[in-house]
Amino acid sequence: MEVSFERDGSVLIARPHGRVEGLAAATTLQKALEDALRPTDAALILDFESLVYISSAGLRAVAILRNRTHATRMNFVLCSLSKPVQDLFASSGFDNLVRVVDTLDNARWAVAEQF
Amino acid sequence: MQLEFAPAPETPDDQVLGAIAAAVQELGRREGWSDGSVYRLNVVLDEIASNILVHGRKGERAIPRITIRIRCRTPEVILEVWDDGHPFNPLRDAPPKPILEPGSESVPVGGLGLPLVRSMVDTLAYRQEDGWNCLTLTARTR
Repeated sequence: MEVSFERDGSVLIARPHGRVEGLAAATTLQKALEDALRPTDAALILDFESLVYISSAGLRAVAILRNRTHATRMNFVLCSLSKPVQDLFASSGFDNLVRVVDTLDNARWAVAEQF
Repeated sequence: MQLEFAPAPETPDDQVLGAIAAAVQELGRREGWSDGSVYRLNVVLDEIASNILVHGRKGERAIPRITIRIRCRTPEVILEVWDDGHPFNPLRDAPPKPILEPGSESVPVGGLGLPLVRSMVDTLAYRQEDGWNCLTLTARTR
């Protein structure tokens, strides 16, 4: 699993690639995002376009990021979930916990309208 | 199909989890499972094996041995997961599903795995045999 980043003003867009498998990969994802976030950032978009697999270990990382962004009133939006990942989010109740939209374009709109 | 793991103490989790993923994908391809079923069964076995690797150690002893048997009775699959670690009955001993309140300041970050497993399978049974834990699960593959 690797994470690539793109920055659009004060919006950080993070893309995990491949499989977030087990606690080690989930922790790598979480730390990479925490390191990349700046205190001045207004929003974090987690783009799952290139994500092949995630289990509850990865959801744990998403929950930690949700708590962190919630505490600092930073917008946090997820986008481009494959059907199985959408189902996983629905089964775990995460679809109510974080904002999930279908495309990266819509994620950009979603964070912009919350500024 | 039977998968057997006897991980050395320093074996990284993802080595075991990667082997499980490869086996589920191979079996799914052979049996014509939907992509959703392959993903679901991968998550189910991943969660159970992860739990054993993290919580199953008996004191300072090595990581428990894990044996997974997968039997296909299309459109159903029967999974048996055996481990010789700490006795653990997920039906009785697992913590309740965490409550995720959208508005709360801080949501719980753990305890998501077993509730996910329960939501993804049709039946789940536990027994102990000769010092081994055995979980039997059934799930549909379409």
